[in-house]
Order: sequence, then C-alpha cells, then structure tokens
Amino acid sequence: MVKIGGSLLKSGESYLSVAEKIREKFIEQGSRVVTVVSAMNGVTDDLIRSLAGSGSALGRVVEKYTTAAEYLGRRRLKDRVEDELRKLKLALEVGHVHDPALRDLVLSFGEKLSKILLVEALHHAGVMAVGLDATEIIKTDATHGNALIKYRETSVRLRNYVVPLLEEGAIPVIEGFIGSTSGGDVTTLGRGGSDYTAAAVAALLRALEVHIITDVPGIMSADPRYVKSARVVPEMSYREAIEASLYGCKRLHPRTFHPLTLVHECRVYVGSWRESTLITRVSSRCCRGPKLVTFKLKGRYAYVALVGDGVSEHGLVSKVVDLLKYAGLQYDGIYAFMSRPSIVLMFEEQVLGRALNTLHDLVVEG
Amino acid sequence: MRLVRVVRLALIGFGTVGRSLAKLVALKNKLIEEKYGVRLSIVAVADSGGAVVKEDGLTPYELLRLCELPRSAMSTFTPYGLPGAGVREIYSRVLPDIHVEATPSNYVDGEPGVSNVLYALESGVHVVSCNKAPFVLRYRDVMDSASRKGVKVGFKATVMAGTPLIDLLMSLKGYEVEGLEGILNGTTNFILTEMHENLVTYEEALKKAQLMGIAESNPDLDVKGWDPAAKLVIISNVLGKPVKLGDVVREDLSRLDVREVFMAVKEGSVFKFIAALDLREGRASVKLIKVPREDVFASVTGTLNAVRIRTDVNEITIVGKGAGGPETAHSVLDDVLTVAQEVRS
Repeated sequence: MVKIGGSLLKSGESYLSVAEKIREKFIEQGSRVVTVVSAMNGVTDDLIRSLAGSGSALGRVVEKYTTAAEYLGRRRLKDRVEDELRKLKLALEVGHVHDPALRDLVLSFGEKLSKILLVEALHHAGVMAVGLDATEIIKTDATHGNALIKYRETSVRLRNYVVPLLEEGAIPVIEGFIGSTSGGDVTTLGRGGSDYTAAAVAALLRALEVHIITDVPGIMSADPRYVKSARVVPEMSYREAIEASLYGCKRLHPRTFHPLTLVHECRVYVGSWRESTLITRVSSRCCRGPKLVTFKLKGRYAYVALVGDGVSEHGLVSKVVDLLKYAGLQYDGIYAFMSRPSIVLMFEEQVLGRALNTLHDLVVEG
Repeated sequence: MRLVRVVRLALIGFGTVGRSLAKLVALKNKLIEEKYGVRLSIVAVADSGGAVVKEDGLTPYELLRLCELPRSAMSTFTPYGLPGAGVREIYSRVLPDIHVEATPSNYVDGEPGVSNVLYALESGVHVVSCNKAPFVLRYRDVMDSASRKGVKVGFKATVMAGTPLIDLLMSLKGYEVEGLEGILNGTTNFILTEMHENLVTYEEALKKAQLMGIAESNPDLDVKGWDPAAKLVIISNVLGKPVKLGDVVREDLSRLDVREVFMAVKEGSVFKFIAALDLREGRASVKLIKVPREDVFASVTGTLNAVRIRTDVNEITIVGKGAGGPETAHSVLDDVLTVAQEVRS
C-alpha cells in the first residue's frame, strides 16, 4: 500500500516523478501495490475557500489541474479533467453551502482529479494502472466532514474490486479522504483522511506494509524549528505514534491507527522517498524509552510531551525532574500516567525553546 | 470440480448504464462464477463512434480502462478498436450468446435500439435490454421474433430499474390487474422533493439533480413525462392490454411554480408526478397530482419510486430505487444471469 501525499503533487511534472518512483521502488521490486492519492498541494484548502465564495481560490484549483493535465499531454485526459472541473463549478453554483453533503461533494473533486492525473502519469511510466472510485469502495457512516469508515462493507467491496485487478497485475489507484454513505452520498473523512483511507485499505486487504509518502522525512525527534539537533526517529510503536499526535505531532492523525489496531496490523513507513520512520504495533528493537519530544500551545502555556513506551515509569520521571532543576528550568506542572507512554510538562511559553532543547538533547538523545 | 460455462456478451451502448455494467462484470465476475458456475465474458462493446471486439473476452483491467474513455471514443482503444463498426460488423466477427442493449431510449423512431434488438433476435441471440424503445414501440414484433427463434428476451431494467416490478407483475398469474399508479421516474421525484423540502425553484432543483448525476443535461424525457409514459406502455404490454405512447396524457413538470408548492405544503399536501394506468378503460396519464401528506406516495422521496397495483383481490404497493447507473446495471445483470442459467438447463 502506497499513499501519496499532496505535498508531493505540485505540478504535472511531479505526477510523473511520483509515478517513476512508484515503478522503481515498488513495482520493479515485485511488490503488488495499491495506491491511495491525495489532492494536489493546497487544493483542499482552496476548495474550502471557494465554498465560502472565493472565486480566486476556485481559479487556482482550475488552473493547477488544467496545467498539470496539459503537461501530461493527451487530449482525452484534458477532456476528462475539464469535465470534472465543469461538474465542480456546477456544484459551487448550486450554492447550498450549508448542506454538508454538498460540501463534501465539492471537496471530493480535489482527490478525484488528482487520481485521474496519477493514473495517466503511471501509464506514461509504463505501469498498468487503473483508477477506482473511492465512493464505490470506501463505505462510511453519514457524519459529513468527519466520517468513519465501515470496515465490513468496505472489505466486501475491496475484495470484489481490488483483488481481481491485482491478480491481473494491474495497479489500482483510489482517492484518499473520500467515501460514501450506504445511500450513496459522498462523505469526507476529516483531517488526515487520506492516511486513514490508506491504513483501512491496507488492513482490510491484509497488506504487509503501508508507505505514507510526503515531501518531509519521517517523524522527527523534535520540531526542527526549535531544536537544531532534531533527527528522524527510526522506529516507534502505534501507541507512541498515537500519543505523539495527541500532543501536537502533526504528521499522523490518531485515527490512522484505528484499522491497524482493530483489523490487521501492518508495518507503517512514514516519510519521504529517501528517509522514513517505521511504525509497528510493538516496537521491535530494544527500544523502550523516550523517542521524541513534542508540544502543544494552549493559552500562555506550552504543554511539552516526552513520548516513548515506558517513559512514565518512576526512574525516568525523577531523572527528568532532576535534570530540569539542574538546568534551572521552571515548570508549572507535570503529569505522567503509568498507562500512557508519555510525560507531559507545563512551561511558560517563553521558555519553550530552551525546554525543548534540554529535554531533547539530555533525555531523548542522552 | 464444478464446470464453469463461459457466456459471451456483446454490450451495445456505453453510456452511464453500459459503463456501470462493464465495471460490474469486471469486478463481480469471480463472485458470479463461484455462485452460478457462469463466467461472463464481454467480447464486444460498442458506442456511437465504433466498437471494441476481443474474441476471448476483455479482462477486468481492459474493461476498467474502457470506462475511463470519454463518450464515443471506444474505437480509439488499441489494439481492439474498430472505428465506425456497428452491430452487424461485430456479429460478423464474433457471435455472442447474449446481446445487451444499453443504447439510449429514443421514442421518435426507436433507433438504434429497435434495429439492434431485432437484428440480434433474428441472429438467434438472446437479448437483455435497458433501452425502453423496442418494448414501447415494437413490443409485438420483438416478442414474436424471439419466440420464432426460440431465444429469450429480458427487459426488467426498463421499468423501475433495481426494483422488480416487471417480475412481480408477471408473477400475478391468477389475479386480474385492474390498474396501477405511482411514481415511475426518479429524476422528477428528486426535483419535486428538493422543491418541497428547500422551497427552491424548479430551475435550482434541476441544477442540483444534474450535479448529482441524476438528471441529464437535456432533462426533457423526464420532466415532460416521456419516460414514465414509456414505462406505462411497457407495463400495459406486459399485462396484455397495450396502450400507445401517443395516447398517454402527459403534463410538464417544469411548469410547476414554487409558490404552488408553498401553498400545497401549507394545506398539508405535496405534489407528486403520478403515472397512472387504468386497464379497464385503456387509459394512461402522467400528471402532477396533489397527494395528502399521509399518503404512501408522499413519503416516497428523492430518487425512490413507488407503485400501487390494484387487482381484483387486493392492492400491492412496492417501493424501491428506480434509476441510477449501478442499480440499472444490476438489474441488467440479473436478466443476463437468468438467461444464462435457463439456457444451460
């Protein structure tokens, strides 16, 4: 399972290079691949703006996809893209912006168009790809804007739709982020929706690996804007990744792990083509102990979390307390539950940088 | 080991339903094979621009690739495309077991459906159709030709698509059907529902229907009542008391003003586009009728259809989805499988 993030999809050219990479990295290695694709970079935000009435945002979406389609050539492709864009404009004209079903329908165009382009790019790269409609496969509840995938219904469809294609050697490409209700209305899966789609499809097809690919390397041991020595965490567990995302690490939405915990576990690689973090159900190597430090701002406080299996045990808590005292860093609170893989510390916002560096260099790296 | 029999299909017409059917066959073939011991093999697909012919059957991947082509571009599909090829040319290359007619219904002269269906029957090929025209304009000829050649004709997808009204009517052998009425067109029912629930004009409701892929860009067949009228004619044919399409009284839905809707809602009723067939009098009509809010038909909203059959014994009401690519395609597939199984035994 390969999921291509929107940050990699900036132009027609980038679709081609993504397609080449998929061929090199997976297909030529003999892997059977299912691809989940996001909308082009920035498109979903622009669609939200155009729902609020921004003509220029809609203009940007049209411009991006038309240019990319032109770059990829083929008259037929351009016709299809223009056809979808025409439907999108019609959807915006109808104008019941408060109708959540219509809103989801509008948002779904970003992924739909992106899928059409990626399939074409894969053909250019000599890959036997075929687009499948997420609305026909991914079944969800009716919570528009933040729907939950129904695993059983989706599983049946995946078996029918994807398995025969894989057996024939074709590469199915499915839109992330969108699905549909039992009545057939389009739904969207909320923030991190494409990762959630990828994880669900992978789990339901009992895939071995999920590769979530964007333009930044894996999960960092700290925010590099604050901590110069931050590096990519090589391995972590689902629990740690969920904990990190709850305390501000934006790479993965906790929901991504739901199907992986509930249905079938896969090895999840999060990162760029070059470097990534491997996330497994239980971290395999040695690795208990602190993996990363992350934070969330709330009011005048920064909640800084040290994340790693076993960090809330007594020994480490007292070590952290000692270290902070030694470094002269004043904290306003600390909590560590035995049941969770984190220690959370409250700092005044102005010492955030120093706190992150201290905790990172002395605890995570120490 | 169970024997798997290959049944070859020619799919004529590649619009919404044709595409849905191609997808369905591509994706559900395995299931069908396990369940019925029949492997469906699409050996030819045609649209208005030409055809694709592959004697040993198109693979799932090829079928899905075909679905990505724009309309009427079939013949550009390499290496199996044949520009300009029609049914005759297809038949000269490969004789299918079942001919699936999914071209659009044309009530002026019935073409190309009528010629295609009659040609297939005369060639001794079973026919399954979702094109209504042959069963509206030439029902007797079609049935005579089929019985002369000893082949089957399936057309239950022509009325209420996924909801088996035709099957039901055919099974009422001991009953005397006196007539029926109901909502036989999903598009107009969707438009009416929008107008009542959101108090929007006809034009706005139509736009939304077009956006959702429910209404065609030219909605005349639906809103001027041709489509439900054609369905009434088919039903009358099935029941052996034929009514002519030209004799069905029709009203135009687009004339309905949102103010009238408002007034109706205020007095506790709703407008429905009701198709009615009276077999005793031999009369049929499609009219905008105000029904009380408690009536079954009032609660049939969106693209749902509903029919109340009146017999000498009782009344039977049946409600279900009556349109849409996937629904119609499933109904076509049902007929295909029924024919495939009957042929075997």
